[in-house]
Parts: sequence; C-alpha cells; structure tokens
Amino acid sequence: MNYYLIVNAAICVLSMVGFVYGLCTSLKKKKPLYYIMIVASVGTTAFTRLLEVLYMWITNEYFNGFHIGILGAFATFLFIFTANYGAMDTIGDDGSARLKKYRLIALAAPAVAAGSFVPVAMSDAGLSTKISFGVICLVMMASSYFNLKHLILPDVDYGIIKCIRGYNLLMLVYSLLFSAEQIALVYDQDILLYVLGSMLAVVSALIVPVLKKGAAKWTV
Amino acid sequence: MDSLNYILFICMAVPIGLCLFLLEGKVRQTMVYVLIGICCCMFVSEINGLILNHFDHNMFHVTTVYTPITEELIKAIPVLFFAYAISSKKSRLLNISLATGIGFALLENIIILIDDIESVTIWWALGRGFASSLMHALCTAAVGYGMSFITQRRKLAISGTFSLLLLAITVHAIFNCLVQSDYPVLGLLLPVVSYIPLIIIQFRIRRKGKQKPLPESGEQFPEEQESK
Repeated sequence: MNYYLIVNAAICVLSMVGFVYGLCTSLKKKKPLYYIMIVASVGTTAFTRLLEVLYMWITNEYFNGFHIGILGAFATFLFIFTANYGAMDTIGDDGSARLKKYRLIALAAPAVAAGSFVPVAMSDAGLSTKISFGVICLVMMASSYFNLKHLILPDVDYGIIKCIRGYNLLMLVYSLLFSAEQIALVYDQDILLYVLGSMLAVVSALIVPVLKKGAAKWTV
Repeated sequence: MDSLNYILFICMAVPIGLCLFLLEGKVRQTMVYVLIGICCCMFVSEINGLILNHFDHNMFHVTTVYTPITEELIKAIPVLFFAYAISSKKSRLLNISLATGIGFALLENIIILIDDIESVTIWWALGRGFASSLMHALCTAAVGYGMSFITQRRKLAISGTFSLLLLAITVHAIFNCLVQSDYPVLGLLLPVVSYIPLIIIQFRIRRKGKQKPLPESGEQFPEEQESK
C-alpha cells in the first residue's frame, strides 16, 4: 500500500497548496462567500488526505471499515454542494420553465455518479466500504448536478456563472476521478489507482486558481 | 476514578458558576461558555469511556475514529445554539467558541492528569497546554467562525453546518493520529503552526485599527453595537 500513501501524500500537498493560495487571496482582498466555501472544500480535501497518509504511515495498512477520512470526503463534496446550492444557484436559475431543459440535462451528472457506485456495490469489498462510498456518492450526485447545471446554463443576467465554467468543468472531472479512484481501490488496480491519484492531485491544485480567475471577472 | 472526575468537575465549575452572578456583559457571556465547555467535557468523558469499553480499550482506534466525532459534536452544540438563537456576529461567535474550547480543554487536561499522574512531567504539561488545549480551542473556533458565514443565508444552514463539523472532526483526528505516531512532536506542532498565522493576522489587523477579528469577510462589527 506504499504507492497509495505516496499518491495520497501528493494529493494532500497539492490540495494544501491550493488551500493556502485560496486563504492568501481571501486575506488580501474580500472574496465572495462562494469562493470561501470552495477554498474550505479544497482545505478539507487536504486534511482528509493528510489523515489517510498519517494512518497508513502509522499502521502500515489502509483503513479497515469506518474511518474519519470518509467524513472528510463527505465534507469536501458537502462544501461544494453548499456553495453551489446556497450561494450560486439562485443567481443563475430563476426557476422559470425556459431553463427546464438545462435542469433535465444536468441530471446526467448525478446519473453518472450513481452509476459509479454500481462497480463498488458489486465488488468483494466489505459492507462498511460499500455504505461509505454510497453515502459519499449521494452528496457527490447533488454537487455534480449543480456543477453540470452551472456549466451549461445560459447566463443571461450578470454573466456570473459564465465566468466560472472552467471551475465547474474541473469539479466534474474531480468528481469523476474520485469515483474512479474508489473503484480502483476496491478492485486493487494499483497502476490505475496511481494514475488516477496523480490526476486528482493536479486537479485539486488547479481548482482554486481557476475559480479565482473566473471570480476576478465578477467585480469588473 | 470516575467519582474523582466529578469531584474535579465540581471544583472547577462551582467557582465559575458563582462568579457569574457578579460579572456583566461580554465577560459573563465568555465565562458562561467556559463553564459550558467544562460541562461538555464531563459529558464527553462519560461517552468516551463507554466507547472505550465497547472497543476493549483499543486506544488508537477509538481516539482516531470515535472521540473526534463525540468531542467535536458536543463542543459544537452550544456554539450552534448561540449562532442560530442568539447572535451570528463574527467576533461574538469567535469569543464564545474559543471559550467553549478552552473550558473543554481545561477539564480534559485535569482528567488525563489524574488518570496517569505518576508519568506526568513538565513536558507533558507544556504539550497539553500548547498543543492539545490549543487544538480544542482552534477546532471549536473554526466552527464558530464558519458559522458566521453559514448563518448569512438560510439555504446554507444545514449542509454548511455539517460541512464545518466534519472539517473540525477531520482536523481533530489528524491531531490524535499524530500524537500517537512515532513522532508525537509533530502532533504538538500542528496546533501551534495553525495558531501562529492567526495571531500574526490578528495583530496586523489591530495595528491597522480595524475592529474585525479576521479579515476574510471584510465586515465590521463595532463593539458598541455588539454590547447592545
């Protein structure tokens, strides 16, 4: 499991870089609540991976059964969902019938997220692993729905959502990679796990800078 | 030993409780939350004892998986009550959440001290004082500080509150994991390293003459308004 420790360490370090960058930019200049919540989400990723690295370092094995890392991963997606639903969605979606088709198309993202649970459910993994990923999958479905919706929604009023399309695309990729990582983990696909972990690390580091670039246009 | 915990609890809580009648305003509020933190610790120590018995005293497993959850959840209850029922102002939330964390850490230190009194040294005391107590205060303060953002919009309330709690639980678990590793010094450094930047930021803000405790939101809460 040493390779997975290294992969987790890489995700931890790069997401910590993104988190610190987000904190520094928030401290320099007042940032919107949406931005702060996404920074908190990246910070949660960093802390969760740090916990997993430490656990593997101390015990020389990966978690067996329920662990706090599950709650951390849950919190990561919950922060994203909270930011999307609570701070952004009402700006782009006024609830009118003309946006109905975008809402329906956006359901594809939770469908894919739910589909990623099927291989885990069919694996030989323990019940606690299946339940844990199932619970994370639920909140990932909710967050990815808004990410896809904000990616395709026509931004007629303020151009706020249009500016952060790059970020939303990145978040969808992150969700997909996370699901694939869980599948690779339960099927012991070491090389795939290493590749996916490396990609997750890069995406984790990019989330905050890409969002900042988009959010910078809000004040223009 | 169990009854000794209650004796210590009474020794700490009664004087604080009595002085509340003579205190006023913010000082009283802060002391109330120190007292609440002490009560939370007493409650948590009982729950943690039950969990420890259930897992055959597997200290590493319990302290890295279960105690962060119980401790952070119970410490957060008074902070959440304050945020939703009394005030969601940043500086007030930060005050009471720090007070709750410190109150919790005070009794916890004493309970741990009497559990293993023969192996206690000055280094142990410094470690508990600078690291564990600080960690409790910072985790609760993070929840309190975050609540000032969450309470801005009703839509953020439930999912935002849970996110913050889970973040605090994760940080607590990291600390517990580190102090039980081969390099416990790293665990002791974690809260100190987190605390120093906060102090520097706070110091810089005070020097600039601003009233806000931390600069993320850019909001100001004049002391005069808060006292009302």
